[in-house]
Amino acid sequence: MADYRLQIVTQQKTVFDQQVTATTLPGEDGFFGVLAHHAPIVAVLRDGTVDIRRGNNTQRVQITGGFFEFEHNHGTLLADELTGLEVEEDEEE
Amino acid sequence: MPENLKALRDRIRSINKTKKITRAMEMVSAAKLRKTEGLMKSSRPFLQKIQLLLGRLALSSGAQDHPLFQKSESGTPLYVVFTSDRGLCGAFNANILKLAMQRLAADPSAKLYVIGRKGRDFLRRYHGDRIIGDMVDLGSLDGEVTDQLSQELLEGFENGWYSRIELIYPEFVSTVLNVPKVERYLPLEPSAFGVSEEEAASPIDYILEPSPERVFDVLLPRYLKSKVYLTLAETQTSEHAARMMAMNNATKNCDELSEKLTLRLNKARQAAITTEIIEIVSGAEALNG
Repeated sequence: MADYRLQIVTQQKTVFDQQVTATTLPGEDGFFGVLAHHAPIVAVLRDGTVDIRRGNNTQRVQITGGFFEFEHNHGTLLADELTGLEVEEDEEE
Repeated sequence: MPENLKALRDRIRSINKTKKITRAMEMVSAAKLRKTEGLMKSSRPFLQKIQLLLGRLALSSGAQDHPLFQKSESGTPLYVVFTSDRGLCGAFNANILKLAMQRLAADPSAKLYVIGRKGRDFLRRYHGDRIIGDMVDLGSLDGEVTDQLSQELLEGFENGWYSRIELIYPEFVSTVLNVPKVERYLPLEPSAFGVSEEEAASPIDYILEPSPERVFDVLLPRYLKSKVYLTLAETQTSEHAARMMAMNNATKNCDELSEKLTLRLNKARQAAITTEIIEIVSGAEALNG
């Protein structure tokens, strides 16, 4: 299945930057899924769960507010706060 | 007249003590610099993303109609001046304040908002009546403070108190260099958002969910907040870098001074000994003679 690059950025830092196959996001008007080659979109998000799928692997993170942008097969999720992803990133120091 | 040996020794001792302090301060600043620089760099992508997105949206949809893009005719200009709370960092604050003073002189109606004790104390003396707010003792970067500040500025702009808001802060170029800079905060200038020319020629047609207004309502406050956060991060990083350099120089000066004084001390001591020997020898000669 085709994939696309997803970046998750918070005010403090970039917490995620990988190729993914699908993302499910909590839009203000309800959940929506984004696959590769989606039309350009900017969506406001509410508090909720984001599912990130890579192949058969699903990762789940919690966000509180933010928004999502997608263009040219490149998704950016700008979250105000985020939990559930520390496992892979916070290994420095 | 021989030099006072005791006075010289005391001076050397005191200079060596000063050197220990400046060296310690240099190392503390170096550690803080590393920390704030990391914070600053890792928080850049967020602002860049929003900025780019705002720039793109401003091209396509009717973003220009949004009040935050509009030039306001009422109110006075507001300058937000970013300085440090502490001194001993070379010309750091002086450079910022010089630029601020120039701006204030050119803009007699302009008001002031000062961040940092050094800036507040200085500007109070010259433009006390123009200061509408200040923030001191910020300590380390924290989201709440930046939220509060950006909120205050936004409200002032929305209420029409300020015709425009500019930030005056030290841009961190490298460890040895920071450049005082004036940057527009409000109203927004889409042209400064870094959208490339090719892109401007064929803007991306975004779907805006749930509505264009809502998207702007969410994007703009985050942009403004993030901008203040990064400006503060940049100020602090520049401050620590400036202090590190200043203390490095101070340490070097101490070394130099201590070396010179040691040389003088040795010469004086040698001279005293020589004098004594001459006295003894000539005394003995006199007895033998």
